[in-house]
Amino acid sequence: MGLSAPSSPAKSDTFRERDSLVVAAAYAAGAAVAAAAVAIGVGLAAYGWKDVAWVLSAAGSQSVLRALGMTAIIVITALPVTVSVALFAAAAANDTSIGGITGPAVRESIQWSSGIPPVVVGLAVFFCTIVVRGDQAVVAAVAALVLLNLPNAAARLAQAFGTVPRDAREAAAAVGASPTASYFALVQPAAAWAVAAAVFSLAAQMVGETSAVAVAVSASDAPEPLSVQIWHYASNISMAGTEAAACIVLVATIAMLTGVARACARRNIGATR
Amino acid sequence: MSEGRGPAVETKLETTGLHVWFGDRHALRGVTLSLLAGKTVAFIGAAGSGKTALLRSFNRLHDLDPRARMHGSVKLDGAEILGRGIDVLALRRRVGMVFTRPTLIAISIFDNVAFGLRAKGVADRLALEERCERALRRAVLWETVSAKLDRPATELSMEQQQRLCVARALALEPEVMLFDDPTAALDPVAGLALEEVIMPLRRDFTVLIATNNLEQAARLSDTTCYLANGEVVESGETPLVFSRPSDRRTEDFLAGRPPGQP
Amino acid sequence: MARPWERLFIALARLCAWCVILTPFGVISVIVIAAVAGQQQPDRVVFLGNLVVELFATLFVAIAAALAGASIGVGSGLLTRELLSARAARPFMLACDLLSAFPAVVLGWFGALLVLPALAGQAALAVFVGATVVVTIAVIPRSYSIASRLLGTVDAEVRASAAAAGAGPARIAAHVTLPAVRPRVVGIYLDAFSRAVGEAAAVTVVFLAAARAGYPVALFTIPSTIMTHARTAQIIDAGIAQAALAVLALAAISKTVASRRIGDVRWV
Repeated sequence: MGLSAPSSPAKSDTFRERDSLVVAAAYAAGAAVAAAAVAIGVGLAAYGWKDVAWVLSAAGSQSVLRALGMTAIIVITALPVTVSVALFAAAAANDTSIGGITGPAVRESIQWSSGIPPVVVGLAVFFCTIVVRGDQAVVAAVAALVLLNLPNAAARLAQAFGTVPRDAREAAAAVGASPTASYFALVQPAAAWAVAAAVFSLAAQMVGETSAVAVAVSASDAPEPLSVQIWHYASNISMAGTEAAACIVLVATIAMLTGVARACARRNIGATR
Repeated sequence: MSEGRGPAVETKLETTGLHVWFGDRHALRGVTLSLLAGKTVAFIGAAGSGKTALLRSFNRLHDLDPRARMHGSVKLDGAEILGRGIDVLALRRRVGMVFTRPTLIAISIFDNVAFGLRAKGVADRLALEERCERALRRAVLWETVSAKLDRPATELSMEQQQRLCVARALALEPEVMLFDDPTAALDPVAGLALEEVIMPLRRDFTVLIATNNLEQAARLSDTTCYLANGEVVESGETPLVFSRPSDRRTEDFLAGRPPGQP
Repeated sequence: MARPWERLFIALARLCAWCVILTPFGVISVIVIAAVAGQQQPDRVVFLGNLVVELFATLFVAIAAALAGASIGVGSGLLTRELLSARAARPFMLACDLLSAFPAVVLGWFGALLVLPALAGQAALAVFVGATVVVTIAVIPRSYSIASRLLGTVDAEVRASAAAAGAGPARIAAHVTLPAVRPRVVGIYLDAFSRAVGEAAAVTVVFLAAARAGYPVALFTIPSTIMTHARTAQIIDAGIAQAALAVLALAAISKTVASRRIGDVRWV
């Protein structure tokens, strides 16, 4: 077999064209992201900046401070429950010596269960509150947040524990450390910053969660958390300014928690290097 | 491998029909071996021949891998170590292991050496210090690190880190030491320096070393065992295996020839 | 042998693991029981017909948003990780970080206040386009995050050898990095679909704002119907539970396939 002229008409080489196409598409995507972020940021600032101080000091049923307090109560209650259960579950998922058959089962479960839409979780809690005739908004909201975030939290924490190299675990086992001893002496300290990052990022997610909480507390007339309160009034264009101000407060809270999570994640990267 | 050594030398480790699978991969295929106490055994063979799988069978490290399955018999001092009801943690304290790459499991130098002792339940600081010093001396590291035991172990060179891993295993005063190609990650000079650490250990322990370095196997071991495709092809006294291998496959491997070529 | 506290720890770990495993089944069981044994509202006898139409509306918004959002996310990931220097990439990364800090209600507010008026005159279609825009923005940060991590899994030595062969960043991105992760990129689209199909809060705000502004909108997506209906109904509505099951199936299946496609990428 030697080289012979191709029988079909020669095709032009699209090697360079593909370069240009990929570069153009990537820049267009970057521009779209920047445009969206700037548009929302500028929109919020333009409509709501001057009202931030006012909404924070306003009283009554639409008080942002009261709603933020409600958010804090719900998140501060839901977060430790979620994190505690997820920490243990992540330990089981991460090491079959600890988890036994539950280890692979948890890993399999979190692959799909984190895809359950928040509104569906909220609906399940709402139905339960109707059955038990409860109107405890805090309990319903906490339940919704715990159920919604448990798979996600377990996945994140299992990944945090996974940042500890397998070699190190084997070395610990080789000197007779039990799985539990390895977990406390090796895995937990090494993954501490990663766990902190996961916890703060989870808190940010809980603060911003709307649909699960809104549906879960539907049976109650109690004060609502900030995200749900904004959801109630956001469609009313005549309240655009005050809602934008409330949105700024919510975004600032989430950004602060996300920032702490990122700082922790950076320290984790530094620690594992 | 006990053939010809006389009845005075007792068998330390014994495997009978040992099979190991990783998922669908059959890593060890019915290995039967008898390893004598106080001897140094080198396992040689191509990559994937089952050297590491065999070493890890002696301290049940396969238990950590959910895909791994073991079948057959492994005896330490005549007592079965496979199967349920075995105290695996106690077994691993009797059978120490050093891995291919230095594996640091704590921040400070001292905490690394003391890790196994603390896991065993030794809480007395004086006892810990005394045993750590002894282990570091045996690993020829004490002079280098005695003044900086609280410093991070990552500050040590690769070769010093590997010696630290030897010290960590020695701190538990094991009966058997497993070395899984311990010089593979080191440069030749550092590798030879580590061999100098291993050499005197041969007097006090049963040493099993898996290595890809044939010269190292010849220098360190009393007996050599050649593995191919998860099977023991040949085992015997090291000078004999290297000078007059009885199996053609061993001869090919030692000569660096592809199997079956003239 | 394990000490008592170690046994207690292992028992607790397994118990909590079972909690995580059974939680989604608990949620699904409640919805299934409600779908079977809940009340059938007289004014929703044509619910199944509505469900089919709402399902189409949901799929329209979710597919369009997933395609756009995942493409933008992957493109941005390529831009910041492969094409730009760390310094030049920083503004784009900051923009992605900023987008990820906007919760769904803020996106809804943005859609109602700024996107809908910009699309005025297009009647009902404008509402769906507006909803699609906000859902697209909602899925971008996650798609970007996964894409960045996927691109990070490509061996640095492969890039280095391409660079040694004289390839620039654009060529490496187009011919080395992107082809290397292409099979897993499909997972990003599926993940984006899973996120988009369940989006309720932002879409509801857009639909409600459109209704207030006089757009001829009688149809919502399924998640937004659930969100608005739960508050007004105050009963265990079998129809709503059936609709929730449809969304749940779509989201969970696409999420499962996405997870398998994407494989293991570090989040923390």
